[in-house]
Amino acid sequence: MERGGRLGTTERARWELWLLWLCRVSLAVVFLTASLEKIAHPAEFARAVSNYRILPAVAVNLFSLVLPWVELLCGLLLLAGQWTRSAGLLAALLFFLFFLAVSTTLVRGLDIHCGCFDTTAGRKVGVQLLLEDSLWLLMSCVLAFRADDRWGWRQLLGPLALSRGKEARHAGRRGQAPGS
Amino acid sequence: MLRKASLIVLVATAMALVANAISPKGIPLFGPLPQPGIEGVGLIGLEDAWQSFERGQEIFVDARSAEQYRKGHIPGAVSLDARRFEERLSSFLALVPLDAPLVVYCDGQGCGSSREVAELLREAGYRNIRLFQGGWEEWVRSGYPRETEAGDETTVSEGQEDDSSTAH
Repeated sequence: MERGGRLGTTERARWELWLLWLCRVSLAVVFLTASLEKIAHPAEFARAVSNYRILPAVAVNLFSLVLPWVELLCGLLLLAGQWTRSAGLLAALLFFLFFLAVSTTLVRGLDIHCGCFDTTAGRKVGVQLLLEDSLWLLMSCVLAFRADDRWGWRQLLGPLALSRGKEARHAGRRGQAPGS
Repeated sequence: MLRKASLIVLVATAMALVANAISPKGIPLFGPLPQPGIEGVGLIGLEDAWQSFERGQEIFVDARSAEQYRKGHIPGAVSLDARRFEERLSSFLALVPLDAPLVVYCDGQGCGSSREVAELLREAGYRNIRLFQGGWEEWVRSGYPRETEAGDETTVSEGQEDDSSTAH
């Protein structure tokens, strides 16, 4: 903290990095968990998508096949911290679609399984799911607007990269080789 | 950023298509999905459901929520909410003998609740169960009679006689 109670640039950057790290790891876990189940049971997931009665019948299967792979790739990229901004943008788009699907389902009074983490049974569409979608949408938006979109080891390290950078600079001031 | 996002979708699509092509669990890209059967439970369509309704010998079981049942159901149907199956089972058993022929339905194609209830009823000892796949949505769309909890029955749309709504 700087004098006067304001956060210093480095301090603020550190907090932001930790926030971004939290968002990307949480979303990565959500996507990886959800996608693997859907990839393992494509027919069951297609039925769950069909139950929403939003997509035309001809588009249900293709959408059901591609969506989990988009989730999987987004999950892996977010976990590795690569192209985080682009993956965050896609995540925001997906959660916006999920939000619309769930809310219109609630309005129409359909009593269906959500097909989100368990394709065979499990959770029904409800208000709690809507709140979760909202939270994930918010996290995705944070990433889409604030995250780094580059590819490299520094993005993989996330918040740790900042402290390593500080150490390196400190070491440099003392006339030592960085990392030594 | 948009270019990278598009690339992710493109790669995901390619991976999905390849995985679907080589997976034994692959599904048709555009065709209808095969409906999995439930052991000991027959699947019926609208025509069979209507004939059962007209015969009046089978008991229709509404697996939707109690609230949806109150708003409207197939005349004579018994409500058995899938989510409250355990607590409702004893009263259902008292009302419906185990050898009674049942037709279970929920919202519509693959809504899940009817399958769930059909399986649970079979576990409870019922042996003559059929599942009406089109469910409430198809029934209403076809203009067949409806009933609210108060016992009010709606009129039947063209092609149906008004008195058919009192078949049960």
